[in-house]
Amino acid sequence: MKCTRVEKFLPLHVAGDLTGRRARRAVTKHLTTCAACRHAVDEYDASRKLLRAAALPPDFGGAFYEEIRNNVLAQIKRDRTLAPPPFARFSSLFNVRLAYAASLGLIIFAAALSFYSYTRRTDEEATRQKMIVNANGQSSATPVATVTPPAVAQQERKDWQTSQASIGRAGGTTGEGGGRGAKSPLRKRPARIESLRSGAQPNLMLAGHTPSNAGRNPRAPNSAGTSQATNPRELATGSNGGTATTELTEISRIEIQTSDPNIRIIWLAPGTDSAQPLK
Amino acid sequence: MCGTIEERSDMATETAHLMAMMMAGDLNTPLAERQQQAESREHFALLVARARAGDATAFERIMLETERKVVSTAWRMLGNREDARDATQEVYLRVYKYLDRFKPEQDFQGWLYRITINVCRDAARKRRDADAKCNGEFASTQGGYEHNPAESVSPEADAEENALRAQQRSLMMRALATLPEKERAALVLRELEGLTTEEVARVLGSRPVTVRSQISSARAKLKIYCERLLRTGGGRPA
Repeated sequence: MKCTRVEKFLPLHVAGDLTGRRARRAVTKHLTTCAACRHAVDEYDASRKLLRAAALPPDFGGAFYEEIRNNVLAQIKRDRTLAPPPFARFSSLFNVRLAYAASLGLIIFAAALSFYSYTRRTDEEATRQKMIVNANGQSSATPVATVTPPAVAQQERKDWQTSQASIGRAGGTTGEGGGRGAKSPLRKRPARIESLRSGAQPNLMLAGHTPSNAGRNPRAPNSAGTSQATNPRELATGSNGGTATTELTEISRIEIQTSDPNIRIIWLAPGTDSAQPLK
Repeated sequence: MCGTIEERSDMATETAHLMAMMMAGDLNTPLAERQQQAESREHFALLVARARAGDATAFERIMLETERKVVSTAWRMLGNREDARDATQEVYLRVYKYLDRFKPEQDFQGWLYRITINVCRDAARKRRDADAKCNGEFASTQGGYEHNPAESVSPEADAEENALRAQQRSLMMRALATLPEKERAALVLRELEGLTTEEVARVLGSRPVTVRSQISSARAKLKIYCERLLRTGGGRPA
């Protein structure tokens, strides 16, 4: 091993801090043959000896140490930390990691709960808005949707075909419905009054309607083209003032045929128990 | 295998203990010294537990048994009596404050050394900043180191000899002050406090390889400083 390489190992070698058996053997072997490196080792030893002598602490005296102790104890008393805080006794019971995990779990749970309640509130709000819009659109009733049972729909289709045939034979159009009323849904309806009684009513559950009120507006079909309702407004009493509720009820469908055969009024009214006929 | 079950169990325990020591790099330490270290560890663990429970006398006992070592380390790191006193007080205040963080299986001496080194670093930094504001130069070159007059001087010794020694000592302490903080801490703990490189690494929170590198660099610098000292006629080597 060359001197340049040995010089780097000497600071550790002089105090026995050189790890590695091969390095120690190589340095020891080199020192047996190299006087310059041996001289360097002597210099290292001398500097270490000087350092130990210089860094020998003085005797500060008992008063010095007593002053330190008194100052420390006084400071502790001043800070009122002579007795550890009460919770410190139990600190050994708490695992810091467990506490962090528990608080993180709580935060995630709270976030999930708030998100769930927010989405649910949003859905309910949307439903309520839709009901209000529908109520405004139909102006007197608060239906949400109309569903015609299949048997009734089939009957209506037959009536419509019959009426279409009769209109075609008449060769003209009367009223605003007319032959050109192909776009008007009213024109396609037969001139009759139809109501859905409990037997014929659609078995549907919609917001704002109660099953008990399904037969609220019993009106016999009348081919005369006039409503049997003494007061058309009574037919609207199934509505609960146009306000939608969140209860699921049956819907009453009332069809009133006006004097104009091409004009028919269809009401879809909720049947609520508390609804009173308008006077 | 020979021996009773208890003897074999003791041997197994001893083997496991030796393996642990080997892992910790303490295999070269004599058995008596290892036993003494284990007893010391238990002793301080008990004192800490009592102090944690609010026993003021236990904490005072801890101070009594460790204050000389703390003061000497602080003095070697900071170089003067007043700074060493302030640093020692801060060390014990921190020890009391962080008693809850001390684990019973830890080495209390090593933990105390770590706190001492950290406090001395903070104090040296404050002093450096304060001196830089006042003088515009680093205090470490000044050292803040006082002349050590407390060497036991024999009456028969030559006055010139004593003066020479005092001068050498002052210059060596100044040399120590010129070292970077990490190298100084490593050298003080290894060379002056007598800790092994593994223990020094545990105290400083670094690896043994890093500590050896720091010690090597520090010793080389001190050697160069001593050569200049002798060349300029600072004194004859001891």
